[in-house]
Amino acid sequence: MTQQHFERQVSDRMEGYRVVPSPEVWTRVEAAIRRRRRRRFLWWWLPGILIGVGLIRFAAFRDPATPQAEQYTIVVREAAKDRQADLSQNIRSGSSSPQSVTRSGRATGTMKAGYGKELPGGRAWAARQPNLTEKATRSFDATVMLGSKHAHVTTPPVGDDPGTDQTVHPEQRSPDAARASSGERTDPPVTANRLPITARTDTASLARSVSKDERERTTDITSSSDTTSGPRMLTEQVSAGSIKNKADSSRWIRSISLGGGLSSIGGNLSGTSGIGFSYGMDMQWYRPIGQTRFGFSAGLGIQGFTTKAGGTKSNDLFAMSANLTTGTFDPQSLATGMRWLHRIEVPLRIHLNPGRSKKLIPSISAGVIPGYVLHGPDIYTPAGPDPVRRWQWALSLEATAPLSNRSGSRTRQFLRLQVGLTDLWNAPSADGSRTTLLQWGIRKTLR
Amino acid sequence: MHSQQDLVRDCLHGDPRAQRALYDTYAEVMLGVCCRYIRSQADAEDVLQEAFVRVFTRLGQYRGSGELGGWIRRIVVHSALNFLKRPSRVHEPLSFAEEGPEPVSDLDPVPDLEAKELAALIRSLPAGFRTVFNLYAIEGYSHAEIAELMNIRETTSRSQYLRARAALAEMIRRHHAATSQKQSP
Repeated sequence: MTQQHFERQVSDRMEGYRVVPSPEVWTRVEAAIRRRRRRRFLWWWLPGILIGVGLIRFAAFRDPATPQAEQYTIVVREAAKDRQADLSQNIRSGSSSPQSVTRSGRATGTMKAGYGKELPGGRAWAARQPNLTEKATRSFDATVMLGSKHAHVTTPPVGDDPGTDQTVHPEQRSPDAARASSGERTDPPVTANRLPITARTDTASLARSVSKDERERTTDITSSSDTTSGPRMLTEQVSAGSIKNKADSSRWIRSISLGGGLSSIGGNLSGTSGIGFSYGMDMQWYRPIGQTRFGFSAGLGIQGFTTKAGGTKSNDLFAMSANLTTGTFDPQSLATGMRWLHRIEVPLRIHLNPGRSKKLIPSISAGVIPGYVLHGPDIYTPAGPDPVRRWQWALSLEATAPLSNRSGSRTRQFLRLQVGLTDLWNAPSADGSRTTLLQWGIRKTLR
Repeated sequence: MHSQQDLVRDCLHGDPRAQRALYDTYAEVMLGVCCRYIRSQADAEDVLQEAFVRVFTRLGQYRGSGELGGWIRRIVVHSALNFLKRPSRVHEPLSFAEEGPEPVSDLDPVPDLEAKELAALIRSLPAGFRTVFNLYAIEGYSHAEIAELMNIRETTSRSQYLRARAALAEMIRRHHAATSQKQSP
């Protein structure tokens, strides 16, 4: 018998092969498509909701006498004290933009979703809240990241003291050095000096979300430490913040006024098939303090990814974020937390996943973050005729492996290896310095 | 009575009755497809569920140019392949070892086996043989397509198919002999 004949016979027999599925299959299919429809609806509307809520809050806190603001006055005062202490430390140490940039990158790359779980205490908690009743759900998300950064700074020698600004980023220079590099020096650059800088970075964050119906309150506490060691620089930066959404945005707004980072919320890599998007919005409002005129920061992020479990083809990951920062800064009010004046920052993040993980790694992603920063004089770059322009790009690679993903369990642990490279340089390049920052970290997330 | 186009349109509008009708029309045939690839019926039902969720969420991509059943079938086959590729302690690992019966050129005609019996025999083939045989002989994929789908070489696909075919022919022969023996007094 010919090969084709055998195949045709088998194929013909199999045409009529039917197996009756159990009724549960349709029940599960129906439930899944309803759930997806609800989720899709949410993804479509989430950016609008976030923007709307943010605008409402922004409008509400223009008037400090609103009941919401009063309700948390004590907490806000405490947060302001902490922030002031942190800022003083930052200003003394000269820590500024490079770390902000890398922090922004990390913040964007962290997808916070966690899970919701009804706890026995939820009802009692809700009863104590003025606006919430009945059941409440809580979720916890803890992340610890350890890593190091390796920076390579290239600067032209300046004046008679070629070592003055070799080790620091333009925004970390002393005013004299910065003034010299911004055009007031007389000697042209001769050769570039390169100096490696290494840094240790630790980040720990703990987020608690409590939601009831459509209300959600999130408290997010993040502690990060960056120690940069170089021949002329030792920087220790510790920052802590608290985020509360919906019911209380005053703490959120004030707590993130330290940096220009952008926040994102969204899906998580669960190690199973799925698709998720992450939208993030970050609005900061600065109260008029001293002679500060206006402060505003807005960030918007979107991330999407698909993952498939196992060694199959996976992951078209796409993420993009935009962040706009503008504002003014009064040097007289340094201690209040305003660091910049006439600053415009529009980092754009595009994240693409090359997408085939054939090993036991559910996701490998790579991203490029081009950006352009235009900012006027601040304490590091005093007033001058031209604003400081800085170009930047960052590359990040991240691999995520599940440590445990028990079926039916709500507890999932992941290990993420993150490697990033950030390159920043001033324009025009003849005057500017260039910092190449290599960062790696291992992050373990218990969710 | 829904025509195919109406059914698709209503499903796209989220009509639960249309979704149920579409499921009822194709579920049995598609579970038959799953059962050819996957030994356990519970696993096959899981794959069917996964496939139909995909069908409903991607129905907008169906252009109406071909048969809807064929389009659904491709999704079901891909879902089954994804399931087989997934590392698991429960189901048989998908491997393409170069062992098994040597390919033969002469095969006996397939006797009058019931579809259920033939499916059971196909299901009892090793996972690599079974997958390649199903894809080539029944679904009509070429060896080049199978190689791309399974991330194997084209020659491996050919070799697996020929060995699978020989193994299946031998199993059919034995099965037929056994049943003939039972029937004879």
